[in-house]
Amino acid sequence: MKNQSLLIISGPGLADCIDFEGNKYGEISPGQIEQVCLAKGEALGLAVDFRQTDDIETLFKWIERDIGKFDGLIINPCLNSQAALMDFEAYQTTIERVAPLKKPVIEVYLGNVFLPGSRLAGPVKVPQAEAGFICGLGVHGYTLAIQAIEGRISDAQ
Amino acid sequence: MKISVINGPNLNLLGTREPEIYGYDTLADISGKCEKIGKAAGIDVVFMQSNHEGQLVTWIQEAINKVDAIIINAAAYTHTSVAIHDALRAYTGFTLELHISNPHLREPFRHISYVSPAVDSVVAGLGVKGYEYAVTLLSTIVLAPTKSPD
Repeated sequence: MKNQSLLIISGPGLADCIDFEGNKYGEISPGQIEQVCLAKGEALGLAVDFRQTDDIETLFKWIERDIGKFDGLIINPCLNSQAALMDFEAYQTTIERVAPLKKPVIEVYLGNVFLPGSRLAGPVKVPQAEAGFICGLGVHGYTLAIQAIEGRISDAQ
Repeated sequence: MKISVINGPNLNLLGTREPEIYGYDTLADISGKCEKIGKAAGIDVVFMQSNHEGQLVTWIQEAINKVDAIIINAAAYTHTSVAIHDALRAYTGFTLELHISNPHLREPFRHISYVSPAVDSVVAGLGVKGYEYAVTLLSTIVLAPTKSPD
């Protein structure tokens, strides 16, 4: 087991996010997403801390307070509430605040946020962030992100 | 099963053009690795690259009913090409838009993608390894739907 660890945060209404294309690759629940992520992390030797919150302030707090304790962050902010635009600005600001830490961050959305009719906020636009972006791959987006962060960590060693 | 990996303008310069952004691997290096991954899964992975928009459109059209999935890095045409958007909408197989860097962290003119609304999925900012990850995912999961999520 390596000593690296990964924080995975999913935001408000993960189940609603699953409803938007998240089941495209087979039905899946938030609990199953967590199990898939933990298994992928274990297979790659990464300790995964998987969290989900329906409270947007808690999401921001977790990012800002805890990212420094981990080797990477995977975030699915969801942000499909009616206040999504306001939330997105605050989310971007949070990512800006943690960008100087230079931790690898990958945003994951279950569905393709660019499809017509999507109510999900798109990718952050924070030039100084070390951020990747994945959408439209359902739960596989999470596992791809875990693989990519493990690759980044391995390459840096 | 077959995957076409379609690459747009200037990607023939990979390895030499702005390596701090795009890395030191050439497109031939990446192609070799991806073909190997596909071969292990019994899938033909075919790389192509052109600096010409019409050629990219032709390759997408030629894939219709013949190729199971397209991975497309339309590079700069991502932000301008309605023709590529229309061709992708005509294609019924699985589609994945790929970018080595994350366009949304770069100049504002790169924030608009005509490709993204016409594809199933988008992967950006994972470096040149994004190609290998995408081919692995498509080879082992997306084109093999009977398997478990991981």
